Amino acid sequence: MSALAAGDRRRLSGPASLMLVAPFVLVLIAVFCWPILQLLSASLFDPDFTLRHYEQVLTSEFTLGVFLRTFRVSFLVACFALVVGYPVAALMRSLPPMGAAIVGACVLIPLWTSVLVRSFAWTVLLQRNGVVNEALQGLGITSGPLSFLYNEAAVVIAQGHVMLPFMIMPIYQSLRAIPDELPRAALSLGASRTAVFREVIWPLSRPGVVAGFLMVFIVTLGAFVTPALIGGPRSLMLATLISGEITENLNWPLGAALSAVLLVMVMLLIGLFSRFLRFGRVEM
Amino acid sequence: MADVATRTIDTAGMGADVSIRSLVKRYGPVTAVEDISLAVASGEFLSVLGPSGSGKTTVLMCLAGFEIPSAGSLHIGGREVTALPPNRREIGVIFQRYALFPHMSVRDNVRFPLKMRGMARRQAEAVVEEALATVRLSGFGDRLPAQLSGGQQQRVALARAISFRPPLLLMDEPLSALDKKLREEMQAEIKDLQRRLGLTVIFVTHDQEEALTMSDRIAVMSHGRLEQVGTPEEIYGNPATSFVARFVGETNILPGIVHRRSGQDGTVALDGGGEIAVPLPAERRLAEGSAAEVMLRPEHVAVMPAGSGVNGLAARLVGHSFAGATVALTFEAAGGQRLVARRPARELAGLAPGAEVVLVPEAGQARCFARTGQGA
Repeated sequence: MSALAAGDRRRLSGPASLMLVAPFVLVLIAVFCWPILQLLSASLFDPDFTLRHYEQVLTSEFTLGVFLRTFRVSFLVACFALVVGYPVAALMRSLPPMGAAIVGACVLIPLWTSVLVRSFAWTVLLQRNGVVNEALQGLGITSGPLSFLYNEAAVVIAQGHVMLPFMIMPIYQSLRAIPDELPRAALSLGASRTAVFREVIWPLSRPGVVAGFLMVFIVTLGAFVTPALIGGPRSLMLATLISGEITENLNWPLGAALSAVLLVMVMLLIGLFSRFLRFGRVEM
Repeated sequence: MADVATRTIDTAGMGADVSIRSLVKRYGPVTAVEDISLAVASGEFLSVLGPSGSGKTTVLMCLAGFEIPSAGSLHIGGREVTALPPNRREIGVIFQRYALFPHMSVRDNVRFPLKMRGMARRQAEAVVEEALATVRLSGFGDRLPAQLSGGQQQRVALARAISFRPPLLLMDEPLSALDKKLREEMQAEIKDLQRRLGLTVIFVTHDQEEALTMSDRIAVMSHGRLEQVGTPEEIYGNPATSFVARFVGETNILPGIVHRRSGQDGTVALDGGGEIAVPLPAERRLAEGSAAEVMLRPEHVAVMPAGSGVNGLAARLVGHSFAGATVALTFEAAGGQRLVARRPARELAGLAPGAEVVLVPEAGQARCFARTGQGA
């Protein structure tokens, strides 16, 4: 497959391909790289060169606690999305093309609605006089409203739901790359259905699992909307902290230093796992 | 299974007999297999031969347990397996595209069925080495499947399928992905393995040459039905239906009308002119005057010079293609009817395109079938 694709590719000369990408690169430098560099310089020059803000980020118990929580919540979100997403991907794989397309549409259509809308939907469901509480009381399971919102569990569920497509799609891709004969061969060789999954399906879908997991984890590290709406002050996450420093405390240098640390961590993660993060061609 | 390793792979006579009784398989409104009954003896090599869509693979998938029959029953070694899940049937299955586990080494692939049976690792290693030696791949154990050629991969699949010593091997067009030379090598190798192990093999193929070379018996299928079951000689020399005659081997097809029939013999008046003598066994219900087609193998057509006084079909040479020992001569007879004769190459001498000849069917070799609407 990949040999075929490589064979099809006609090579452009160096200068020609450079000219083709030049407009895009220029736009990227102007609206993306330049602001980031400015932000970084804001964290380092106040007004003279100083590492004071980084020192504050890396020594303050409060900010370190937020970092730790952000990593913990991101990890849990990725776990949640994996547990919920894998069966969906497996279902899509087992359905005939039409059914898989319908389930796939149900997975992808939420991506077209704003994260804001999806997060508000969760607050409507989970708040004290929300749908879940009303239902529980109506059924007589609970006597008074429970507080579901404004804790880490709520963030994990809501953010996990928002991130679900990023988990399902790579897993589905890697499941689809497994030919039907493989589970059949395993069955004919005496494997039970559980053994077929454990020995064949799971190991062969692992590249998709790793890609989805990293994707969800890394995106959640910088997630702002859902943690801000669902999480509340006691489960403050990094993006919310950065936004607070900049818009409320007007402490640009500290916000910039926090951003820089997050940026470096994300880039390290991507660099470390880059071989798993290739979409559309999950290898076996 | 504890005694697996103590038996050696070279033990003969382990094959199971197979009985397929009134098997039917429908997919919604489509009937893929229509009422097939077939008995395979222990240690027999049976090919199921048919074009794509004839239902041959469906029969195999029902035997392997991947498809549940709509009706009928399946018995292997005297045990009914119709509703048994595939992992409890003890059948080795070889797939067209090898189906090796890409994330496991060759050794782990071959060890897989033993591991599934809970065999201790050390004991399993010995069986694996023996199975790999059987397919001449000792020393390849640490490779990954992707590092092997197609033929080697299929041999690993073979080693994997025999390592747990199933009494029955099902093969689904196992050689169709290989080139011709390798295919012939593998045919001999599979055949040899089957004889040595005394395995019962059911081998699905669309390649009639492969079926003729390898099989003890061939079951020819078309449109979900059995057309004929017989030895390769019977299938080739005495096809039961016009479909079998067309599908197996090369053949000339000459449409005509049954002109005269007396006892076991008769003549057919060809549409293009001329007459041909054919055997007409009683089971061929062909009355005088009914539409028929005469099938004549190219090697059963003798070529005589025109005007030599023998009875036959006047024809003119229009082309020839040389194939080493033999040459295929294409003739045009009266009415534009084309005929091919396959003769020893030396007979070409003195025949140039345009030469007038008389074609004489070898006595008793022509076969006559009723002409149906589509002819097949």
